[in-house]
Amino acid sequence: MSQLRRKPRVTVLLARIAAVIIAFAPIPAAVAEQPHAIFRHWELFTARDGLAHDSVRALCVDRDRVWVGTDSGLIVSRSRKWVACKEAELARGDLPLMVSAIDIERNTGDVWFGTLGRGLYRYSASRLDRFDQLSSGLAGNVVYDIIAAGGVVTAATNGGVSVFELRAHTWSLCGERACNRVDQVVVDLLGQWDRGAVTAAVWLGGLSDIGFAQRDAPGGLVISQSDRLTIAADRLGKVTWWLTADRLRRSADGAAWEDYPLPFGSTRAVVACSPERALVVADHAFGVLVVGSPPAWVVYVNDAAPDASLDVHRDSVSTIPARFVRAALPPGRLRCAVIDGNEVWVGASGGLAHGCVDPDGLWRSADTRSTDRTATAPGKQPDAIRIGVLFAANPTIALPGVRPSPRRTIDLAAVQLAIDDANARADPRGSAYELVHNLHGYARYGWTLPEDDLATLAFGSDVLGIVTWIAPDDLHMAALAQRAETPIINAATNGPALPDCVTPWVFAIPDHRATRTAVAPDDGDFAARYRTRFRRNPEATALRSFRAAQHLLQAIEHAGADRERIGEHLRAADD
Amino acid sequence: MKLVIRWTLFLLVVMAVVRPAQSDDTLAYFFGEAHCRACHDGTGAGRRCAIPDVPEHRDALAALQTDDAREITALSGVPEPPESSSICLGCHATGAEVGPRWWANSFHPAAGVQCEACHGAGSGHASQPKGGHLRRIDRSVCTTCHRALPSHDWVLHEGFRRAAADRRYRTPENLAVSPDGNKLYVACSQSDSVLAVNLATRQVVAEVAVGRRPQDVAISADGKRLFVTNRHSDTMSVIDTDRMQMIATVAVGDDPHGVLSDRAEKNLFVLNTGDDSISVIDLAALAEVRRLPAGRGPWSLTRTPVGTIAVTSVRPQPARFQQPHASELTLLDAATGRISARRAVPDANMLKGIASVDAGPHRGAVLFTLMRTKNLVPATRLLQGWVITNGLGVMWPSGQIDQVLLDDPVDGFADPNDVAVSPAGRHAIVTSGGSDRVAIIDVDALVALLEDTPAGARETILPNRLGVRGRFVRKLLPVGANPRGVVFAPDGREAYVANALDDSITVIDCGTWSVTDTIALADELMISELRRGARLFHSADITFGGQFSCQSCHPDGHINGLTIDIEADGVGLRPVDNRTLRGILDTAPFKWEGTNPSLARQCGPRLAVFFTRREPYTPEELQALVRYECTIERPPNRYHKREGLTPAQYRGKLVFERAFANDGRRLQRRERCITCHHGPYKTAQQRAIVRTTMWFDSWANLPLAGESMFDAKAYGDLGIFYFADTGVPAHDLDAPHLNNIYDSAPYLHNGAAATLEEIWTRYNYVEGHGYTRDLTRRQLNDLIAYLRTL
Repeated sequence: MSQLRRKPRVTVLLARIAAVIIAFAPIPAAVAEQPHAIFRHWELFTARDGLAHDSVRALCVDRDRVWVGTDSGLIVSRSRKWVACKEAELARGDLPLMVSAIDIERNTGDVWFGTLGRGLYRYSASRLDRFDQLSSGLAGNVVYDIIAAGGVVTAATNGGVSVFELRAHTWSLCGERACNRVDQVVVDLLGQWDRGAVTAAVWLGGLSDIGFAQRDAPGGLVISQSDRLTIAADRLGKVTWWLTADRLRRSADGAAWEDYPLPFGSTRAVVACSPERALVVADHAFGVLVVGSPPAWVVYVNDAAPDASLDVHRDSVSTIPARFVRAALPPGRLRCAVIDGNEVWVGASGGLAHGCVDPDGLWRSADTRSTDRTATAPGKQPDAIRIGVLFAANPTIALPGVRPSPRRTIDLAAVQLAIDDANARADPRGSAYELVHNLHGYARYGWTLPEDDLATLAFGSDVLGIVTWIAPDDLHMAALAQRAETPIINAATNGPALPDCVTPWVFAIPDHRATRTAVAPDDGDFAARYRTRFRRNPEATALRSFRAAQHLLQAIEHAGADRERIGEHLRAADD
Repeated sequence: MKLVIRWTLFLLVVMAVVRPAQSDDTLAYFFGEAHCRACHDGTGAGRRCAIPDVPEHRDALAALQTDDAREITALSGVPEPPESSSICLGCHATGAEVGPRWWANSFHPAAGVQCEACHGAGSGHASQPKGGHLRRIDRSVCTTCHRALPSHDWVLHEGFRRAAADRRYRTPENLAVSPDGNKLYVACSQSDSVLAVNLATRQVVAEVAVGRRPQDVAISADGKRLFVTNRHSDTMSVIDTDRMQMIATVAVGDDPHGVLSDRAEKNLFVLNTGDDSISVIDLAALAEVRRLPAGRGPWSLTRTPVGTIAVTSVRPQPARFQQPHASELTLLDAATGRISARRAVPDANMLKGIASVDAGPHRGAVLFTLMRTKNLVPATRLLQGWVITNGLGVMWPSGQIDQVLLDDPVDGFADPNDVAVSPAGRHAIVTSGGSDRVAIIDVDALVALLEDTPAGARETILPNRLGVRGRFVRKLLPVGANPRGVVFAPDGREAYVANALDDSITVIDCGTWSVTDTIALADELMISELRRGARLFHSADITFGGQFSCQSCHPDGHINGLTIDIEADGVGLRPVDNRTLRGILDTAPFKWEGTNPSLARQCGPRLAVFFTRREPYTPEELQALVRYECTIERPPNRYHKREGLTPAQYRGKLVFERAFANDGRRLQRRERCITCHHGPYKTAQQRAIVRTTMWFDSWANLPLAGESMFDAKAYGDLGIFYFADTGVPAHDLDAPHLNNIYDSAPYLHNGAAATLEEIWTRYNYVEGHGYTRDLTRRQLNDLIAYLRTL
């Protein structure tokens, strides 16, 4: 895991300077001769142009239509206009539809999409059918990827990989999540079901084969390649592209792998464009690798982003030539992309970019094209600054023979104490801090998973940060935190643990006192106040909860009511 | 003896084919009596079974071959022969529920009720005798089969037999006319056949046997092929009309109903009412090429002149609990064979017949029949009529929907079944199954009424307005009993109506709009008790204003997918889930509170008090009605395959029958599924407290306008968490039978659970409905998979 730890700032700075130098260096002859076109012409779509939300998480191109998954539901293009799908449904829902994955069942034309926290949907000729973990056999409501083909829908969720056979109306489950086992977070499903099997990419795990033969067996998930820190994977035909933390791998047979170093870090996704071409999306750039002799990268960087934000891998660039192209990419982090012939679509937290080789491919003329690159995310101004407390009890989904043991891991009263302190310090004219938690009936009941509540807090309650307790080996919470882009203070420990290391959104408590098993004399102030107010002695859980909330509140006071800036502040504090 | 030989041969073949494919060796399989006796004969290591080797157990399987057995199955609504019915085999054989896939080579089912019938599959016990793999039994295991069964009593002790006529009725459902107008083809559900009628001589000239329970019939443009859907066979039959022979059978989805091709005859569309889908059949290859998601209960379809195919749905789409419902009209693009649009018809259900206006000034409009069941108002408002109304819908090419009622205030047009539009597009005929009439609709006048109505009123007032039919109904014509399908001749001079419970076709002259002839489809038959009961069931004569019949809420003897507010205690309070009538004779008591010990009690005076507001049935009528209701068939279970349960289903069965929680704790009896749901019908026929009370249930004893009720509403999903903290009012409910439970959503007494999963994921918060908190997701999925096989 050490490879994924954040680099010291000096190293990052040097790398970024190198990136700028390389970006404007003369183009190597070999690259210039690559037989692929450059996307030179760009236009940007945001909520002002008809998207339901600036934040785009998933893309799918189906003939002349582009399906866009936003943080407020599904959007489709019709005659180069954006049309929201079933807005009424979105208004009734208790949680926005954060569309995280889209696939189209080509035979029927139905669109299947997964969400972060609301399960799986079928969009069929203006009708939405919902499948979630309470009303169907879906294993989890956080869906990372979907494949819909041949009457079978496979969804990678936070509860395992669910397989829905439409004709038989049966749900099956692979790799069921269990409280007594290190969980695997399947983030990508590769290709269609082929003779009853699919290969999946396990986040920070490897590539795994899931087959119908194993589906009913107790394990279900067979790890075949676990030696790489997998970020994502994709497959087109027989060629598999495998994105790990430090390289892109390609294989035509699943056995022999060619390695291609990445020109940048902070990668998120890989898209197979052809057997010889793949697209890699990173936070602030995306690149197209063309396999040839020699191979070459074309890296598109945001022309509005500061050069320092590029996380260029200097060694890699010297290994494989890279051409840097400045493009009008959306503000914020890039999340997804899809190439359709001579066009590319790039989704980001700040909008959707459309790039073309030929200017005629653009949807809008130059005079109607938006030049405003500021985020336009619609959102209500909160009347209070909300702090979330997530009771991440162990999921009650247990292996037979193991009794589920929900644990009370956060002391709500202690967090409230920290919030009261912050409110006392705050400007009385400003917004008050408010505590939101997930102690609703279902969380206590057990048929939901902690990530569902994380999604509800992050997307439904619009909290600025979350205090929670994450088990040392639980990657699910970290995987969703990565997508929710919400700061999470992990009260479980103050040292670097797996969830804190693998994503820049989970933070430990910096105060070493928080790790104590009992409240010590030097915590006297906290202990006395706690005792006075709640008429009981605080335990170590209370102290950790208090410190975690304090840490988050201090970051908010410094950075303001903006998750991105709070995250930056906390990262700086970590460094 | 023949049965035994036939069974043995069949099983040998099945075992040879299926046994090696058994895919989960961790699950026990049936081992056979011989192995048990090796240890338990009194001389071996095991104890001798205390239950004597009674000959009735050994001969139990052979008993299914008798005529009595066939009468019992008919009276129980069992569609299969007794020797292949899982209901019958559940008590008369061993290992039938899990099926041959889980039988060892040493297992001989012909031995009847064996040791493993009570103790469960024994292979695990044989390999580990001390392992506790066998079910511990007590007297309650015996009573799962040895209990009072009215079906058996009526046949074996009271001598019930179906009349000879009951085997000869045809029950015409739907019609198709040949393009030259010379022949009429009739799908007859009770005789499992299609009849050809010579329209010149008015005589039946041919009969072709098809699959089980044929429902709809369509004819190709050249008149050479007929397409017939078979509801219980899940197939579509293709008939050569020249030779009147079946030439092909195509497998489709569950419970196929409507059938029609596109104009180009590239694709044929079959509506699968049972699984809410549409099978698209390539007509050249006669094979299903895709299956599309339809509305709930797709029923009938028509071609429109604008290149689409419009499909009706009988059940409303899922809505938020206790919120107004809407049904779906699905539009298919005929060219692509895919769904192009869906239109919601608000507050309507039972969208059945549909026909397009193909000519005239209103070309492109589509007429469809509907009911408007106001299930959220107290059903006692039936006194004033209006709660269940019957009408006609119009869908315009723009997608706009209009609704008008065909009822007058004291003269209902109950159960509109089908509609046909004349070739010129000026008239339409609607059949009323409940009032044994047809209505002649003047399409111009109907459109004028709609256009005269202000836009707002057209949407909100007109759909509920009684007494407007005088504006557009030209004539009401009495026809035979329970008219269903209707069709015009190609030249528009005549129309034909299928009288289902009269076995006849009414011929209507479209010049004078009068009945000119009646074509008998069967020899003159006496009206049997069962047929008289069927007519009563489908007749609205007993209800106030003739507005609805029994089948209005129980179409096909099943459910309409709605919960009904049953008492006069306030709007939306105390809703009760509608329960199926299919195969319920042996599942007493009835009603969710289990207070009616017999169907006669259920359908007698109680019906008059709560629903019909007219004089109750006479004793003779009541007996006929009850007898008919008993025979309403339960369709074959699509998830219970002949080869046996899948591993997932078998694992689900073990969860259903488990005596220990996942942590090893022994479950109390009230915590086990099987305590209340056992036997072939999976019901203990008793009431039990399951603690699924919600704030709107009247026995929750919450003040109607008090603070507590609103607290409960705000507390969580339907207030169920409120009771978790404040104490659930104890109220016992009938343990329902679980046969074909997969097709009777919603669930629980008030219909709060939209799916089987929700029974446990949402509404078992206090573990009153079995202990399920420890189940893994895989176990829950397995349990659901098993429940679907019951």
